[in-house]
Amino acid sequence: MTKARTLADNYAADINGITAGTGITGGGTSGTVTITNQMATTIDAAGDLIYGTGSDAFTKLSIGTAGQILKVNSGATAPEWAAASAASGPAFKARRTADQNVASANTWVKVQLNAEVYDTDNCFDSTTNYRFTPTKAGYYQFNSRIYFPINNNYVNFLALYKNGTVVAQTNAGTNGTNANMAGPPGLSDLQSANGSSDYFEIYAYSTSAGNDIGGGAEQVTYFSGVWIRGL
Amino acid sequence: MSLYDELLEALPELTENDFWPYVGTIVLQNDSDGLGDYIAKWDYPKPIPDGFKLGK
Repeated sequence: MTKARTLADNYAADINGITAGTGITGGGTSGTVTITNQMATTIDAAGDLIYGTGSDAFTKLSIGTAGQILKVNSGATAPEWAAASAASGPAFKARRTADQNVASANTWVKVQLNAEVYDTDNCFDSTTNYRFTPTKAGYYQFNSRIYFPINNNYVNFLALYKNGTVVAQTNAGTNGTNANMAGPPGLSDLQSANGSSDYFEIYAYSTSAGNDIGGGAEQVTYFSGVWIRGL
Repeated sequence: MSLYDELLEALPELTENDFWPYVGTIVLQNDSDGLGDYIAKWDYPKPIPDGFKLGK
């Protein structure tokens, strides 16, 4: 009678046992040996992802919801699903409602933009400091224009201030002959903002004392800006 | 009398060019906070005249 050979018989050159290694379960020394890929059995549903949790260790991340993107969690320890960031940021336009007198010549005066045409993220302060403090970091496009009455032989300036320091400046002047040809100063500029403490303001300057910065509808004296891209 | 006029009186040699944006050595500013005009920058070769100060 012939004895059936098993792995345990340990003949020379035979495999005498199958042991599960990392990520594998099962094994044995006789009969039908089944080994199973643990990574495969960890997957329960379509879209499941397997990721490492340490040396030779892994777990499952179930599929997210429609439109989500995969990102690293706040502790930088694992991936997670998150809503895709919208490619947009704060936008505002503020204006001056009534004339603002600039009593002193040759002095930079902050323009009190005391009304908002729009302010998507409530970043513009139109009551106290008249400044834009964006809450999202990135590069911002700014535009401004002020109305200064035109007269002979003086020059009006307009400046964009960032954190109290001028970063962009323009001027419009008259030459005494073609006074009405001089336009009001307007400027545009691109500036970075950290999304927390950086703030932006508009200052005006005239070589003539007692000028009024014109106020009224939104096209008269205004300051606007919009987030363009991240840093 | 404005701060600008007072400075011209204290230092008669000063001209409008000394305050000119970007190229001038003196910057006067008013932050519209009710505190009035003040000297924001003084790079003029002479010291700030008595009775005046830098900042608010």
